Amino acid sequence: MGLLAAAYEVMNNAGQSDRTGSGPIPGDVLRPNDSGPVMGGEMKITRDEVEKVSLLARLLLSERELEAMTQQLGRILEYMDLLGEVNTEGVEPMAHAIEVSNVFRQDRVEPGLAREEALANAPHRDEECYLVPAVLGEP
Amino acid sequence: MSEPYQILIGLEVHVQLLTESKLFCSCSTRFGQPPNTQTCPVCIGMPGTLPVLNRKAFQLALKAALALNCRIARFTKWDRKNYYYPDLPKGYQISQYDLPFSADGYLPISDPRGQIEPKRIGIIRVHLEEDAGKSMHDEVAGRADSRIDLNRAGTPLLEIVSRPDIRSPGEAKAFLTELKLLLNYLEVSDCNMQEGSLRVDANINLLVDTPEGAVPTPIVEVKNMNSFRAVERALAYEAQRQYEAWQASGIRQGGRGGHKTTRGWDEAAQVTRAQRTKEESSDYRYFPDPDLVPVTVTDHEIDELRRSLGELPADLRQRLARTYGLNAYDSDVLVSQGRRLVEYYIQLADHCGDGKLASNWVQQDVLRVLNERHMTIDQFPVSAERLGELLRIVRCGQLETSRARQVLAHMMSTGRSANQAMAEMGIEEVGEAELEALCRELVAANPKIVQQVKGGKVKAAGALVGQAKKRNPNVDPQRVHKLCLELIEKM
Repeated sequence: MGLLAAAYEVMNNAGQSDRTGSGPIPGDVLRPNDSGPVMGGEMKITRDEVEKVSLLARLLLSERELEAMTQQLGRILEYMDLLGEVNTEGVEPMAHAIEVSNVFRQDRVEPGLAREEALANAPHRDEECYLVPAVLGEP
Repeated sequence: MSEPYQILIGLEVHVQLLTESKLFCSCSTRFGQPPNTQTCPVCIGMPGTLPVLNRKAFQLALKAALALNCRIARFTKWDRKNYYYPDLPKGYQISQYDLPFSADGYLPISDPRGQIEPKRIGIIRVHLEEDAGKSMHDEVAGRADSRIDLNRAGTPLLEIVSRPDIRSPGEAKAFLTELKLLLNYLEVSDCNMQEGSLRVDANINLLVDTPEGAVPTPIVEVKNMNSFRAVERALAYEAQRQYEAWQASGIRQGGRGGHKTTRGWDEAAQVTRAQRTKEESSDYRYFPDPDLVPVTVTDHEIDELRRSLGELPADLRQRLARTYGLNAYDSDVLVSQGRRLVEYYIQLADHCGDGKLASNWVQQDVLRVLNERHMTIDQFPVSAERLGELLRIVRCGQLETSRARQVLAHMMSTGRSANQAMAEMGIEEVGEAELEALCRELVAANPKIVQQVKGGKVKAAGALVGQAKKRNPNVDPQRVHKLCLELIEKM
């Protein structure tokens, strides 16, 4: 999951000015940018940016991996720029890849996992809970 | 209010919705169950699972947004908010980012005691998201580990974000009180802070008056407030702290060192303390959740839900004032007790024909019993119709209040009607002649009291009323009092 999120982070940041505040910004998400510079040889993403997103994704990358990721993510972003060549005049942005909406379930409780099953794969646990290194402070 | 600054407060409120099951899976949302007994592969983030939206949760959310006068989006979608924390098993929270289901509303607040001016607090947005699990760290036991309980993970949460329209800690409390009452009436949430079904964060800063105009201080997000009183106190403390910090440092919002920070309220010490600075919103790397399809809402559905809201607190207060002649304070007290109690009151007022009398009895007698016995109005042993009968008798002057209270007590313990209860208690009206004879007797037998009253100590006549009640419990103390004073006057 971390890598997918990282890729979107890069796409969202590339070519866009920093925004402040956390309010809703229509169209700010997943909008392939068509205004960023596309110069031959110039990377679409810097090493610092890759380092930052790898930290957010909790991926510990070696020097060599960082270099490789910068190259590869840059090429992915360049490839995504192909989308910019499509004429999207008058085309509504999509919110989802399939044309389905309003899938609901009834508000009914059904049996889930027994605790033993839920905790079965936990690396560390006690009788009731998952155990993790001490959590102090807020998310 | 002579401080040289204005306070700006915006609140972010999370409430759990009153659904049976979680937002995207069928696990129970019941509070207080043993840890990790209400989970399934969906809410503990197993690969290959698929979340499906709970229809009831979406409808409750729509009702709340409509009651908060929000614009309902005809098209809304789900986004992933990515961050790592041990109580968030998927590594992301399903939330709503750029297309929340509702926005641009307001909640009017007022105060029947006149402490704050009536005003509207703007609502920026209301969106739906899933709750995280709970992490527990027992510092006393000195444990090296934190324990994670995922029962709560996936419980539906409504996030309500106000505009920074709130100008005082008192207004913040009024906003929260009204919001809680509204959501209670709608049966959207029980808003129980102890059980965590209502949580509040506040953004606060000051506009300080200076010769060069109003200058904003850096915004502080205050967390960890566990009651409405705590919110009020934390904000009052924080406003004062920011003013002192401004005087000492002159740091302004946006200037050097003027970025937004987070502070936690320390209830024991009654102070806010700095917490580590929050990640920027873009660090959450929001993107649309491919596992969930969008939701569309039609005008027809909105109209139907709007009709199902019922009479809301603000309308009810007005109706009680208009139809039953109550003042703002009394109608507020009754409405604050919830819809069922107001329904009881209205029945009672209609039966006895006196809105004020009914209000006094509900506030003084019915509510006292409910509090003492920890019961709800539905469990109150005397129906509005029967209590109304008793109050009709009181209204005719056939029964004085303290005696009527005894009758009510008898009705509660025996289930009798007012008339039956009075007959069993031997209550009958004392005739004028009988009453006068009794008073004459008392005045003649108590020359000391008569002297005191004549000497200007009118209060002394109270002892005569006490004696009269002992001789005949059916006498009306007010009539005895009046009659005795008249007799003494003539002596």
